[in-house]
Amino acid sequence: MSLQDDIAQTRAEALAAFDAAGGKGDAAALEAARIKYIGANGLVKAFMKRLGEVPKDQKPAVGQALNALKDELTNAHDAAKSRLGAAAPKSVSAFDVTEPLPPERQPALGKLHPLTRTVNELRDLLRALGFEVVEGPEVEDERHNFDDLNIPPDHPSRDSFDTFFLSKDALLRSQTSTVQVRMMETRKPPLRVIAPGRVYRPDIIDATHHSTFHQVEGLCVDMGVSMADLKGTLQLFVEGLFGEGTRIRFRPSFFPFTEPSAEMDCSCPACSGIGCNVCKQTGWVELGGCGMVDPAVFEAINHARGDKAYDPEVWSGFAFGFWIERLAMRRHGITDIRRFLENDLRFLRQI
Amino acid sequence: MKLPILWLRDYLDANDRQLAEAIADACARWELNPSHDPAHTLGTLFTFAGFNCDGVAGSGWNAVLELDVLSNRPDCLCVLGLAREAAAFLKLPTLAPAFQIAESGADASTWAQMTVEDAKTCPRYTARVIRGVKVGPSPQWLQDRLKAMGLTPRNNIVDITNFILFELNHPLHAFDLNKLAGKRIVVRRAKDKEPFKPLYDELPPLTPETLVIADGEKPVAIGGIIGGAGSEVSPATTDILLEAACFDPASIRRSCRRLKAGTDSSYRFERGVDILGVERASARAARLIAELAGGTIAKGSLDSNPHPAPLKELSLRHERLNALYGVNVAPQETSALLAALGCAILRETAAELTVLPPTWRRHDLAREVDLIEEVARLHGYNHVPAVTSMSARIPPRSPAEAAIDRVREHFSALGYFECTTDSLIDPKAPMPAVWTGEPPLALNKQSVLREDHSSLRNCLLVSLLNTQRLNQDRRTGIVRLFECGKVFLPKAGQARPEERQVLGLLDETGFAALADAVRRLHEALSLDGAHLKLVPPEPGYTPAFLAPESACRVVRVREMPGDERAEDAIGWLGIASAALCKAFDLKRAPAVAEIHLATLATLPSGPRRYVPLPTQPENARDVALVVDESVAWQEIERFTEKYKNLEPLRDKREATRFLSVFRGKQLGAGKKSVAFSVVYRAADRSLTDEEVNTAHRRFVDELLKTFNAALRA
Repeated sequence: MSLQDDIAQTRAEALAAFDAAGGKGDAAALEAARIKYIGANGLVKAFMKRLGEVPKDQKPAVGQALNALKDELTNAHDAAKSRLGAAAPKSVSAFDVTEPLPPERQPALGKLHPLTRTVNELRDLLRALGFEVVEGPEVEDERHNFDDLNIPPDHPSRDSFDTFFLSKDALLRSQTSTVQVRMMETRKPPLRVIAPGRVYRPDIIDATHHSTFHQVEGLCVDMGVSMADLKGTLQLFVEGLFGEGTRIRFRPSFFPFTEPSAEMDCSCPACSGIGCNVCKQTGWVELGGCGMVDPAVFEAINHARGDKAYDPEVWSGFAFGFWIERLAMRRHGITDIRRFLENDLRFLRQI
Repeated sequence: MKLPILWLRDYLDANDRQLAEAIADACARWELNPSHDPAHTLGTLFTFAGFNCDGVAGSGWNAVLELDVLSNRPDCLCVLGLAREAAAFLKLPTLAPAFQIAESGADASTWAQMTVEDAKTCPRYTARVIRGVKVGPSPQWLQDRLKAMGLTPRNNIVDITNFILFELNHPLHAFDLNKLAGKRIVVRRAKDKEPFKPLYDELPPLTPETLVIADGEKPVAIGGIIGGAGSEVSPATTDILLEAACFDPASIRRSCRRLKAGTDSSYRFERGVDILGVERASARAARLIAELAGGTIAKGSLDSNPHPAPLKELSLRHERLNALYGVNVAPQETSALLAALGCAILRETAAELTVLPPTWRRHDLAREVDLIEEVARLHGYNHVPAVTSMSARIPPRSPAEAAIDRVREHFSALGYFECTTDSLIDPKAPMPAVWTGEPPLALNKQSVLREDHSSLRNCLLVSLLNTQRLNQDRRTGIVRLFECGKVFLPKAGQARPEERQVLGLLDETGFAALADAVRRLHEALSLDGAHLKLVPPEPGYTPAFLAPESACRVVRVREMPGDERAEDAIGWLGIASAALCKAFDLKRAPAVAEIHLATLATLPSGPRRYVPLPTQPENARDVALVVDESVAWQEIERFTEKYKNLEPLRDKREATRFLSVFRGKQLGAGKKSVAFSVVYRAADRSLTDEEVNTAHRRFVDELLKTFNAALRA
């Protein structure tokens, strides 16, 4: 038989085979037909090799016919295959959603530390409320850590048992409130800043205490600022943090550098205030301390500045502080504070 | 502080029904949910008055509340103090305890003498004499009250002094007058190692820093802390010297620390007791003693300071109150609340109120703002509206904050986990001299809780190696870490160190990955006209903490106008030295780096300028150059970048692209093949292959000449 005849016959067979396989939804038959006719060693390829048999003057035409055949059969195969796809779902495919990528091909994935993520979240919310992020030193002097925060000279927290001292006038700050003092010393009111940072207290390290931990301190000084502004600001903050409808409440408390002082609670984000294990059935969780800046602090700042920039008759302000570890522990259900500074990779991957 | 409700009710003028109603009213006023049990509800009310209720033992009127009394309120370390609070928030009248006594016979000074040698530590000492008492068990009501506080009743005299401590917050001490040598009391400092036997337990030897109450010969008590054995009231006692005194809080605290002792008495003196309440406490005790143990109270008392400084008047401006509190409180309510706390209302005008605070609050009610807090607290913080009309501005991120954020994103995106390690470290750990060769700053000995947390780190590397070790021990997988943290570097002549913000990195996957991540930091920071490079240190300057062949300085390069560049070394990178790996017992020698972060934050960074994308296709040509091992990639790169400016067909915006390095037998020993690619492009037309080939040939010829190189076959 001449090549031309073979081509014609094969064309008919192939079209029938593709169509049949497509109609029956028989993927295996379709694949076998593809290999037989248009595969790398298929019949069409074999015809190409036989072009030499064809008289020279007919070669271009036969060549073109072969190309056309290849295109036609490829289209027919693809058409059959798409019918196949519609008729029956693939059983094995390159798009398996359940099979994980082999470890060596998985791109490495790092993470920020849970404390960083918690601080970042607070920071972003408070920035939206107009608070600028500032920093202060971790090694402080007595004036910034105690004196100017209205902590009396004989207060127990000044003992070397309650504060880490390096020398007589160098200590590790026991609260980020020191940054309040440093900011007011260098800037004039109005002022709205937050100071996230590391603080130190000589506590015995156990599941709920550490000698190194983190706080975020906030300070706002302006004219006519009241406790209502404090509560309003914190209300906006907790709604941003835990969602709309979160409520805030104050309980009277005592801090040397604020008066009036309060503990702030918010309605339990886990149960919306109904009562659950997170809030020990009270419906409320503790957030931190807050209050109105004590006029004695303003006076100490004025004294340090040598002016009357923070006249307590003109300016008032509020301050608040959060314990970062406590927030992160509650959020993630972490029961051991030591995990934060230990950096077990299993913990860092998990949280 | 335990608060038995039965005892509390001794001072509240209300029957069961009135009390229950007052509690319900207060709940409604403060918008609190009452509990099924009035004791729990009362606990909640105390919480919202500033005395956090930690627990309720029992229920109903027999319950005992456990309340937190904060350090500014020592006056509430007693039942009467808490009763005043309750009366204020429940709006109930109070019943005062009885202080009247019947004195008779000779003056107290007839029976005993007293000298105070240290009036600073003991600002007031009083003594009463009660003669002819009969020591025996206390009546049931007294025993019940002490038991409710967790105390064991002893005898009527001792029980009465304890009762006064819990009733009035005034610790007292009763001596057997006949056992005091010379019937004298001398308040003085102890002599060094002076013998003293306390009533119970053992104490370290006395030192002259300790204030003692002595008789004519020897110490019979440690002032304000504990009585001594031998002079105490016993069943045989008939005559009593009753001490009511005041001690300096700081001295009491220091003595307790030194002696490792603490009593209900010292707890109160440490926080401060009412110097003007001394006579009241003494009279109340004497009255009870005469009532329960008989005896006659001698006339008057020995008193070292009968006239302490008087109280000062205080004014409260209503406008100021409302401005700070954020709620308008009616003037009548303000004065009612302050009166309920014991303030004497001296004068009232439309604008302000003048009061005399009660003696027991002379320390914490000393300024207008103190009164404001009292009114706000008792009016109820729940009445503060959560509104703010403050205007806000959106403060930008500081360059330092932005730089740290970007560094964190960069390394976490590249698969590094951020860690946060303690700044307090073990000074015995091997200390890599990354920033300083000096030992880390040590905490004062007294401040040290744990030796392994007793110094301030001066590099992050030590913490990162510890973290690697921990993860190695726990088999948690390949360790790749970074930390942004402070290191503390001593500054000569200054008490406080430099706090340097640095970036620490540790990578078990090896040098190449870490070096690449660091070099690409300038991308993350969107630096303009600056980048980082790694340079081997000058010979002889390799730090001991890095393996010598791997050590690199991290160098910050700033391009200056013209051809100038400023280069500063800002850190180290390399493989941790074998000695360090051995010291930390590490199985894999990690690649580590430590970089001064602040030097990155100060560089000019984004937003980067847009450069229009080229409209013509690129013509890239690859070169594989066989050179001596000694030829560094940077040299080839510098040459090709320089040559770029001489070749008109090279695209000036396209940097030389590094492809690979190959070493093998075919090349011969000491040779390597460096492959890279350069781009030819004209701004306005397509280049022909011929043009490009000609230009490229010229370039390659120059290359081969310069580096004495060959093209790879």
